[in-house]
Amino acid sequence: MGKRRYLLLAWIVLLLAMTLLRHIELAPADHRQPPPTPDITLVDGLARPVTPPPSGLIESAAGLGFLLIGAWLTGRIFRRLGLPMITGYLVFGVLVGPQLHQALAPCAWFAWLVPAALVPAESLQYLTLVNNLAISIIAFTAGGEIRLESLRTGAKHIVSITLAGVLLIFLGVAAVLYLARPLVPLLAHREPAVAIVICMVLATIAIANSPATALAVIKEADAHGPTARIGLAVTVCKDLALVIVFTVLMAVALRLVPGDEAAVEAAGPSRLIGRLAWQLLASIVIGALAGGLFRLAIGRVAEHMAIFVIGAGFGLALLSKALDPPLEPLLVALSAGFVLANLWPRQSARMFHATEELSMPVYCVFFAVAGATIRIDALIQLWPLALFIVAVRALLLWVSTFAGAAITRLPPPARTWMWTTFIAQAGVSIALVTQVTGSFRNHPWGAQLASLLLAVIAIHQLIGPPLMRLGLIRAGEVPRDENPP
Amino acid sequence: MLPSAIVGAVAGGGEISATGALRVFIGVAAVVALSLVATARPFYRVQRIPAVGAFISGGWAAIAVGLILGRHVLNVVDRDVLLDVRPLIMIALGWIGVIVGMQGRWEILRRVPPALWRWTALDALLSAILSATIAAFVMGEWLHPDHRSLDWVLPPVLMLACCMIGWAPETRSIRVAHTPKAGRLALLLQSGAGLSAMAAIVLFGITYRLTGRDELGRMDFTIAENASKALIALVVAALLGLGGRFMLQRADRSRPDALTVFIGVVAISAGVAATLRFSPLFGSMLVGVVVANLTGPRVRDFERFIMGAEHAVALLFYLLAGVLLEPAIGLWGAILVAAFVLIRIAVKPFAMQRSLAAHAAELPARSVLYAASIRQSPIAIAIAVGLILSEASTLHRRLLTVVVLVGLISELLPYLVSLRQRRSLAAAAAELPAMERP
Repeated sequence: MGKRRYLLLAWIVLLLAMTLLRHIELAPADHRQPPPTPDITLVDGLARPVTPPPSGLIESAAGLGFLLIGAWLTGRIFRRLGLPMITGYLVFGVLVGPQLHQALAPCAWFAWLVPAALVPAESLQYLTLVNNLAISIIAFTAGGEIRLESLRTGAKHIVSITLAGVLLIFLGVAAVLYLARPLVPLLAHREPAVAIVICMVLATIAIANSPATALAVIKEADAHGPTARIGLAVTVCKDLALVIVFTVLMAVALRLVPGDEAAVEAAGPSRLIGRLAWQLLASIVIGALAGGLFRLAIGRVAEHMAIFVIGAGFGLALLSKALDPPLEPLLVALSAGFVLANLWPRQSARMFHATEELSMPVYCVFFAVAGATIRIDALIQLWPLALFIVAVRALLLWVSTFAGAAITRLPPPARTWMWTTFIAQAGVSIALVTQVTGSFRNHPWGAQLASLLLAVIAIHQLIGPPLMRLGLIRAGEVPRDENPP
Repeated sequence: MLPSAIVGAVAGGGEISATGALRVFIGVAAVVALSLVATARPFYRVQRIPAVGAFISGGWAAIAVGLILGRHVLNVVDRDVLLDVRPLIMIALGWIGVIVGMQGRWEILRRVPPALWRWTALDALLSAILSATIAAFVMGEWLHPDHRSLDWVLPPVLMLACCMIGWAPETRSIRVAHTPKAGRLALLLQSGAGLSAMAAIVLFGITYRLTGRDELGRMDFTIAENASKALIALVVAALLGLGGRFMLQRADRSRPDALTVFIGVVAISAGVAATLRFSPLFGSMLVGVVVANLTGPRVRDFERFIMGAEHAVALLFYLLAGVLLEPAIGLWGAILVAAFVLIRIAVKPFAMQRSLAAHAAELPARSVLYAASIRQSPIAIAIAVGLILSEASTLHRRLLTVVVLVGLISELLPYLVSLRQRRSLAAAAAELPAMERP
């Protein structure tokens, strides 16, 4: 039996074991037990009240383990099929997550076979802390990948491609959707102001890409070259630009279409500028300071650099969240990694090596959780419109990247294939959708818009990594042994 | 706005508040700082000083830091927030379980001398019976009058009995003459500690299920259910062990892959055990035993990797114990502590000397190492913290304090014995020139 079959067998056994364990967990409790009554307070032996652990908390450890192993196995199977491993992680997350289960639950035989999601939503929420760690470690690695030298030599390309991307995608998507509004149910028969806001929101989210996915695919494919190097830098710059565009958009949109009162108040110009300045500047400065602190600590870490990296990752994520207003964790970690790698390249090598060793479990959890939260129901409902937006965005990505690269005379094949780096969308885009949902929750179209956005992101999440890998291969930046025929 | 939405948005809800995040941050920073100190080279040198060794090896320093950070002093690490990261603590418990389980390699076990088996069994039996008897008596008075039935008394009694089994394996902090006999005794002490830890975890694995209670406060426990769940835990452990080996082979010597497989296996074993209402320690120990009995270079690499983090994981649990404990144990708690320390002093050296009597010629006649078995096993802390994970009650926090205090006091006893021995030797040496004088 070939290696691939063994992996497939292990994968099937894992899924069966997960299903079986879910059946055991959900088995009816002992018949002696009376039904739970809300007025009874649990007490301990000293008659002091006891709060039982919330639902899903205890099970989340097993959920984390299953996500890790399952994602790892799926990733390896996908690798043998010539696909990126992170697509495997995402697909596994989709398969065992609550969204797919919810979508398939109406099917009687499926509901009998799999009575509940293999990794339920209640368990997923307790993986937040692990996910925060993953974001920090990924951003820290990405920061370490961006070298001052390559920034200097590639600065004109990065600026040109970023500007072209932000402008053309925003204007293009908004214009196409506005012109096509009689054909789009969400936009048809809406007041022009509302239609403009919806189009602008969709266009802004279309700018977003995923530095985490880009980094994961580059690392996995061991890609080296301008497409990988400049592409990664552009994804980071685009996300920075996105923070500004999104903030301005929300200020304008909430004036045009008043939504939640608190959101309107929060979108006041002075508040917005203050918050934006804080988010960007403080994140960069504190991240740089953290980088300096890490430099001091590295010399004193004799063993277990991995433990130091985990602690540093948690520290950055939690510190970002603890300050008020909170910092941008992605930017803090990115800045820390950038400062460390560029100012102390020799001393920080050990830390980045340890980070590299941790990358696999981090990617498995991060992308599997991302997969588990992909809104399958939204995708099923809105796939034709979502596909249309995906196609428009892809076309605009290609045009804008080609144009931006052509202006600064970036030679092919990087010019031709770099657009594939910007297709994937993940955490940041979903976070923006959460923000949009909150701001427009008083409007009937708010929920529909969120569903459409999530459907678009779901498609981008799934098609982004394989397309990027293909782009890197075509650009000739993937070594032969990483590029099986 | 944007950043707060980004953090945790991918996973959905379960957001930790800003204050909570700051507290967890400080907790994480403390763990990292302690881990750095504990793994730094100068620390190993300092630890060779007997007084420092006695102070550090029992977790005094880390527990003190935890206590200072916790609710009763600075209140910067909220214990309720800590309990929200239970999945991660469970994985750490699982890590300890695997470390203990990996000592159950058949080729090593079959070479264990009968005297060591006798010693472990005698110690476990005497310690468990005596401590359970005293704990049952104290619980009969300590618990609320309405809760003095077997349903309420049995779980804490059994847990305390588990904590009293075994002794600390560490011998580096105890200064003894480097003779072959002393070396042999130290080796027996270390091996016996490993066996005892396994016994304690198995017993705790069973008693842990007794902590489940229905809404009326009765123990939610039937033998049939317990047996079936134990069978499931065993099957899962065996499958995970075999699956872990298979996946390690597929890891192609890649450390990131091996790390992913290892964390995944530990998380599944600990999590499944917790879901089945067994201790995460128990489930992971079973996996450790299965993995230890599979041969191959990958498994040995795996073993080295797991053992490498032993120090840091132990520190984490000492720190957690400091944060989670409830210092106000009252008179009955104090009685328990005193009784348990006395039991350790009376039973441990007795069981050791009695069981090893047949090998007296191969072992030193007098050594501080005989008193070393008084020191409490670090597994006791993990067991007591594990109990709080299952039910974060005031009673369990107080029982943790009892366990911590017994551990700290018992840690100092061999040091005091060695001081006394050194003084008497010094006195004898001082007298020697006078006697030799013509």
